Amino acid sequence: MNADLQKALQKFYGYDNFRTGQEEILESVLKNRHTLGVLPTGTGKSICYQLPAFMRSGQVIVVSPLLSLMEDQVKQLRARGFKRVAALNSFLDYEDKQQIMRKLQNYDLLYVSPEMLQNDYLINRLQSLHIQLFVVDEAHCISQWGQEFRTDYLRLAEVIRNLGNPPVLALTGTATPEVQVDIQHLLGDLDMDKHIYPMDRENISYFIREVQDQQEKNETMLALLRKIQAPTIIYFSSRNMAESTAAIIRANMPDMPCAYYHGGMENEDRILIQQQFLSGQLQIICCTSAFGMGVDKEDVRLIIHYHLPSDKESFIQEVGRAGRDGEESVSVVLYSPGDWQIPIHLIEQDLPEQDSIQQMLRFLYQRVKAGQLELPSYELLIQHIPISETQWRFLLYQMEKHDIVKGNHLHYKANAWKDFLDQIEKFVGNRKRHKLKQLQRMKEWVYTDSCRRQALFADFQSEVRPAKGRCCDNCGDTLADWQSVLTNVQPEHTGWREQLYHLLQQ
Amino acid sequence: MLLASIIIHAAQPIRQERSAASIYHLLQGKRSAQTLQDAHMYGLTHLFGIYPKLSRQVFDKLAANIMQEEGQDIKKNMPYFNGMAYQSQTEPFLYRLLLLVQLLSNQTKGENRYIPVTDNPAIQHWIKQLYRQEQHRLDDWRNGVYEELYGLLEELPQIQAELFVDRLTGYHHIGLTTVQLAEKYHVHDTDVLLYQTSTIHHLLQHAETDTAAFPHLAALMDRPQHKIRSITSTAQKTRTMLERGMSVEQIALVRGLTENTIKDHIVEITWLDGEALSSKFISDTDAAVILECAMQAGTNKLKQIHALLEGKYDYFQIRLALALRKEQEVKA
Ligand SMILES: Nc1ncnc2c1ncn2[C@@H]1O[C@H](COP(=O)(O)OP(=O)(O)O)[C@@H](O)[C@H]1O
Ligand SMILES: [Zn+2]
Repeated sequence: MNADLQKALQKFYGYDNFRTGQEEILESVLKNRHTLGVLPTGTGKSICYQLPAFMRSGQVIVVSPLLSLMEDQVKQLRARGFKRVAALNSFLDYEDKQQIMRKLQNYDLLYVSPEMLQNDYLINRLQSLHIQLFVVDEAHCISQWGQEFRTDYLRLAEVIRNLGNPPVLALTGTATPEVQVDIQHLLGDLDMDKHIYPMDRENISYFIREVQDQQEKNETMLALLRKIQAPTIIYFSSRNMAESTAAIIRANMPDMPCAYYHGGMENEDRILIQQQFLSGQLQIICCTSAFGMGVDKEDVRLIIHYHLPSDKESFIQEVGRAGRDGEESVSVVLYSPGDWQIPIHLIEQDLPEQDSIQQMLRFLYQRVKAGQLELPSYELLIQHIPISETQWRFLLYQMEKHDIVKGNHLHYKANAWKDFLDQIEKFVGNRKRHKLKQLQRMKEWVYTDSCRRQALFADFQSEVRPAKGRCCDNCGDTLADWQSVLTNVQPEHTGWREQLYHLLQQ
Repeated sequence: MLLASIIIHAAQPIRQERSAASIYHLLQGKRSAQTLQDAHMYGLTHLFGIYPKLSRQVFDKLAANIMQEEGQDIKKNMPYFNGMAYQSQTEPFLYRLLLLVQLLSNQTKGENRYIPVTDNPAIQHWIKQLYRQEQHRLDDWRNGVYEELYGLLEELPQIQAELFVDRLTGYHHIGLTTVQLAEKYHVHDTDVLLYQTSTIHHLLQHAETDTAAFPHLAALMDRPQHKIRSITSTAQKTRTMLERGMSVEQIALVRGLTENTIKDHIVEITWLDGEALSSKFISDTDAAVILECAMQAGTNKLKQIHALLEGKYDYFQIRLALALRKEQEVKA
């Protein structure tokens, strides 16, 4: 083991040993090699770029699409006493952004959202720094075959070039071989050292419970919660369902503190709920996929999917939040036949309809003809064309790629526009087909009668390790003999006097 | 529901003359001359700005029923509010207190890794400063805050004390969200916030008037006098210029505003400061005539008063006289 690295790990984090993969990736990074690291979520990717930031001179830039994760990490680092860290993203107001950008040299570690990198002033400022490492977190987002394709990730190759080709570290928790190749290619055909680690988890077992309707789903869920009696995350695809089911659980199981969490809540409340779960005040969280990133709780025993996500990668990530302490943990999918409508609907919503693309082009063309070459704002556009902001950003990027939009202006050339329309329709069609195929794979996994562990991870790694405890329902395992280890729930204080005393006088 | 009772209470004097929207602006603390005037004119200054986040939809739904039905029972024990005095302090004070309790509670256990309950950089900065100055006396602070809170919460209805303490975050104990509090105590979400505001006003009132008895809470307050700050800053500018001897016309010209706007400022200031400024524009006797007329007719409607006095006074003067009324009532 590299003694310096280990000393640094001890010094900055207080950990004695590296987890699988961390040391290898760090060594590659410290040799200034371009590096691709695939590490299962929750095993500690962030150390791979934080440690270099603390150990060496020069800035580390981290591009991450997950704004809340970014904020969490900055907060955690500050809480540990690392102050030379900041996050630049759309959460900040203008003043704060400017202030950080003016003083970039004051930060050793700078998180930025991909859309911030469109800001020329920022690029300019970044060019004046000595960037020791450029990190692309959640690198699978760059691939249209990854589960969370982000068009603004496609520009990263250009950004990296503009910054004078600093060493790049691309990190992801999940990437099929296909996506790995794509990442390398789209980041500018970098020559990368690859460090790929298996993402199967030996201590998680997989179960599917088929139910006929919502009532049966709820009953099954409640029975399960009573059986396992341990920290649990329940995933939903809608905010409303997360809220209403949390209420059902509270009504039925007053001893199991439960709350909901989703992206529609105020930031302050999100922090509270998250912290309550971490501290053990809450046993059960009903949430959307917004919960979990950066939530680092070791003893989550049960992950229930009340609704399934639309691809296996997301599912693996969500399930991966269980059993980080290595103790046996369980994934249960509650599945009823009608459930597939929801993800199909979501896929449709994500990408623009052919109709709206045509309408949009017609609208833009009218403006060009009237001599208004300036790009309309999104607010103006939606008064005429029914598209979401994500769809608009997607189209904007595509129009820039086809030279229909340059800077803030429209350029009209009949051929280019015609080509654009053809290509974009093809592109959208492909994306939809791809997503539906992903969904189909998820579905096949639900219906498979071979080992679920094998079936889940076979696409991602050549060999899947056997389970340490229970494996899956198809292998004949059950939860009937599950021994719940009661986690000690905090004592309830009775009345405000006692509570105030406890807070300030004990 | 507390919010409903508050709306009923506010609707009582206002209903005849002003729209429901004016109550909304009042509760929400809209910083306009009109809203400030309403607050004073109808004796509702204590409700000014007690609910900045009140949603228009929620309000409209409640108000629709209330404004129609007359003479409902309003004497349900109304919690203490003093919005006009404290509305701009309420939030900073609350968050300073929350962050301070979190700090003190963790610090005494030697824990310094925790996620602060608020992201607000100004609040964090404020507490950091305090910490720097006071780090050698943190135990005094912890005991002081405990005792002051304990004493003042004792004076409140139990529900308010419970809601407040359950919201506090400390060592290995995380406060509840509004929704969780509402659920736990079977009150409406909106009422959780209102009770909280009332509790803060209660703390502020004691900290302000009896600083010696509540030194720690008083230290969390803003220093400058709140009286000045409850005047809109644009009116404040007008006042300064008037005091320098400029005329309404000159000020309007210099500031690029209409004369009516400047007059609005003067009325606004008069509500708060009495005759200091208004005497330049209306004499005591004229004010008395107008007020007499308003009282006899039992109205605050400018148009009506204007007509009754046969146009002898312009609207500006009538508004000034009404603004002076409170002063005179107090004197009498
Ligand atoms: N070597 C290690 N020993 C113990 N804990 C670790 C180690 N590396 C990381 N961790 C912890 O594991 C948790 C997950 O790390 P994080 O970087 O957020 O994971 P990821 O980004 O892979 O999901 C963090 O709390 C981190 O402190
Ligand atoms: Zn199996």
